[in-house]
Amino acid sequence: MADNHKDILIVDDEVKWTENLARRLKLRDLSVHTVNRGEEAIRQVRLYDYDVVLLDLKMPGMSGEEVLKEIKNLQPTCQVIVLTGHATYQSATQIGRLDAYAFHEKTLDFDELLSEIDMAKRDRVNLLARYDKLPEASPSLRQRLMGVTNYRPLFILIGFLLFGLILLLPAPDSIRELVSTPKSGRMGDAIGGYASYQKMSVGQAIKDYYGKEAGLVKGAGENLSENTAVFKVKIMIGLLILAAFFWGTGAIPIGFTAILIAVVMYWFRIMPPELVAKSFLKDSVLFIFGVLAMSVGIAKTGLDRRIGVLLLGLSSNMRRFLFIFVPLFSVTASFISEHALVAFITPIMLVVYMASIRTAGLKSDKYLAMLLLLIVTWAGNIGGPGSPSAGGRNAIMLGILKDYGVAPSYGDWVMYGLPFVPVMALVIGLYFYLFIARKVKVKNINIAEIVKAESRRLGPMVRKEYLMAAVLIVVILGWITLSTTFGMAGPVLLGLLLMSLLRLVRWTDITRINWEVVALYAAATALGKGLAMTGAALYIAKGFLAVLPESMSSGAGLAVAVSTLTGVLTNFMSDGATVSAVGPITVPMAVLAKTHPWMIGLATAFASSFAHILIIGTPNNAIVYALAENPETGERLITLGDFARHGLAIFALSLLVLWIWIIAIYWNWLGFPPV
Amino acid sequence: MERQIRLLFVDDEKKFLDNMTTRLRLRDIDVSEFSDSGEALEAVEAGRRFDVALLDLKMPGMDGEELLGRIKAHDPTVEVVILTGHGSIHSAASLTRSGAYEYLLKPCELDDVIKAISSAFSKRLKAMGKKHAELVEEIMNRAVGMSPIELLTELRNLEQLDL
Repeated sequence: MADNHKDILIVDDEVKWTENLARRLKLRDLSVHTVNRGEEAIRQVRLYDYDVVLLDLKMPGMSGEEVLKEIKNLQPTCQVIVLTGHATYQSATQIGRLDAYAFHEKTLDFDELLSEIDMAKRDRVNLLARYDKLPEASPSLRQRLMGVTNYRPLFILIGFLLFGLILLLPAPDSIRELVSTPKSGRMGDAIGGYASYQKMSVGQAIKDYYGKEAGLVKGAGENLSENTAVFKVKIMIGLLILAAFFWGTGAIPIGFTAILIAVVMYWFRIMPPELVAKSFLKDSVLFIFGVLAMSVGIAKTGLDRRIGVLLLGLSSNMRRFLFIFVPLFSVTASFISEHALVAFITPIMLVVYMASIRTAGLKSDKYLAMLLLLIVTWAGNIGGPGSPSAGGRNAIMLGILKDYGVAPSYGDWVMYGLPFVPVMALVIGLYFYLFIARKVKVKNINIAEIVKAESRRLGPMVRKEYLMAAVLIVVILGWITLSTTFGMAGPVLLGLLLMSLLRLVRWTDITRINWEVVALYAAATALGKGLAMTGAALYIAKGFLAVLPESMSSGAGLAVAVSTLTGVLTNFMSDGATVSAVGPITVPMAVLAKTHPWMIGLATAFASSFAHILIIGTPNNAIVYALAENPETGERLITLGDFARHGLAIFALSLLVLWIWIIAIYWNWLGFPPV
Repeated sequence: MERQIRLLFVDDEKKFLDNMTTRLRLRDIDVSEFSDSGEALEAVEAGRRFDVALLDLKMPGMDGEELLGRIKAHDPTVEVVILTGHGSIHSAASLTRSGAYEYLLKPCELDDVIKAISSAFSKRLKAMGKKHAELVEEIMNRAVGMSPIELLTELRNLEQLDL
């Protein structure tokens, strides 16, 4: 035992009684401390490791219960025997819940107290086992290196080695050439894909423009040396690889990867501090903060439930469910956080499932479960392309396009993206109709009827829901009509303010949003800015274009290539991280290939919604998988295999609808505005 | 998604057991009654699902304290309410420490029993929500090479969902 181990601490405000008891215990060779106030007891427990604490309940200052709670908090393995002059059943049960070892009247006989102390000490072994997890076999080297999600030492090491390697290796000549080539101003200029190409003057090279813009050179006549410019390109390439590697492997928490990006950009002086900070907080970052905060308010007023019930109320038979509910649901998911909708609808689907099999007298119906639950997941996922507010990944793409001076407005995005959603939803409905619905054993499902009960439980729509709906409409209208003037964040922040004035949310509600997501999006826009400004993005984009076959290196072919790449990656990485890593490269590829940046940028963003295959691909998948259990028997209704098999089919169909319906037909007909 | 509370009720006083069961059923509780603690344990270990157990303490054969321990060992999320005619302050503290949710003394108002049962039930619902979240987390830990960030948000939401 350590030096600070002691046998007993006596806590009681009756000084005489305490001293008397301590003296008698010391005679038995026990080490004893005494204190007369609860606050002092807590300080003692911080300093020493006591076997047993004898605690009075009624004391001035902190009550005995508070002291007990605090002691158990600090030292869960400490045994507390409560001694009191005024015992009641109520205090006894309360003390027991707080894990006190025993509860006695103060009049307890000294010998009995001694034996109780002895028993408590022996029982402490059980407590140690409960809290310290007896030393098992120590983890193998491999286990230690792999660690757990958010701390994987091996991957951290590999990541930093990669980063260091990229910095130390000599730069290829092509980078030197890229940063030093002066702008020719003619068509097909080698550096035509640079983010700020339009702003450069003829004869200026990327290193000169970047040095001036980033304030890295002082005098008017001075220019950034080629070596420095090349080094900054290498840092940004290394940082992109490092961040993508960490995001993909979960080596450190996502939020800290975001901070890592800031640290590298500050300490390697990619830009001066003020500019680095500015690149983190763009309109798109405030926008995504606003969207997250608003969905807290929507969930709080119950508006998401109301919308879910309204949509389901139309499904009086299987066909109506597949071909009316599913498209409406997907379109709704384009404008309201799909996660909130899915998280609410899934439990209702379980009720529908249970009620349907019960009526049909069946024990289980696997295909009905798949039909009801999987469709909710995928219909939610494919709402993504419909509008910028469907998810943060879209905001990241907007930020990247803005760096290239070609950001579409909210309305533009909806015009180019929304037609994807209902068509894809119908395709999903058809897939389930053809391949799943036939195998469903329950013949009559009337969801509308079952949902009516839920609707009755929600009662009539209340004032708060009307107000929330009104604010939501104002914000969406603001995005569509005013975003070119007031940005994307303007309308949503106004909406938040209105929600506060109408008392729909309190500040404590807002603090519940996931700041890690906000940090990821902020870091992603900064990463994109750094890649674009140094010319690193242009360099990587050129490399990728060079390896693509001729037919895929421009126009619709390029859109097919980038959407496939993004679609595959997003199944393994979070959608936001995928767009952060791929977007800064695909947009300059478009510029280089003389393809409209919207076509490539939007194709990248849309494909990031196609994470249908693995349950960890998106939160929607995970929620549905986690909840897909028969609540009465615990039977698992959907397996990983179901997800993978049908998810793969839906994934392929999503890409096909994107290529054929959107790129080849719709966009071809709509055209793109001149840049 | 209100559902009935599935109650396991064990008491060796047959008359009290039957009488109380009738009254609890009238309050829309799904009661399974046992006058023998051994049989009750068999039902639990055979996989019958209960949300809350209402146990007498002094019983022939296995007493309430042991039954509490066995039930908790089988499924720690089942909440236990003790209803005894032979209570002591010492046992009140020691049983709640062993995991009893509430400790009631006979004779006791029906309303107090129901209050204890339903608040024990809501505690169990919360614990079950947590179990689901742990399930997802466990899967995540096994899936090397994939980092679903927004999952973290949703795990938090999962805990608040009704099951």
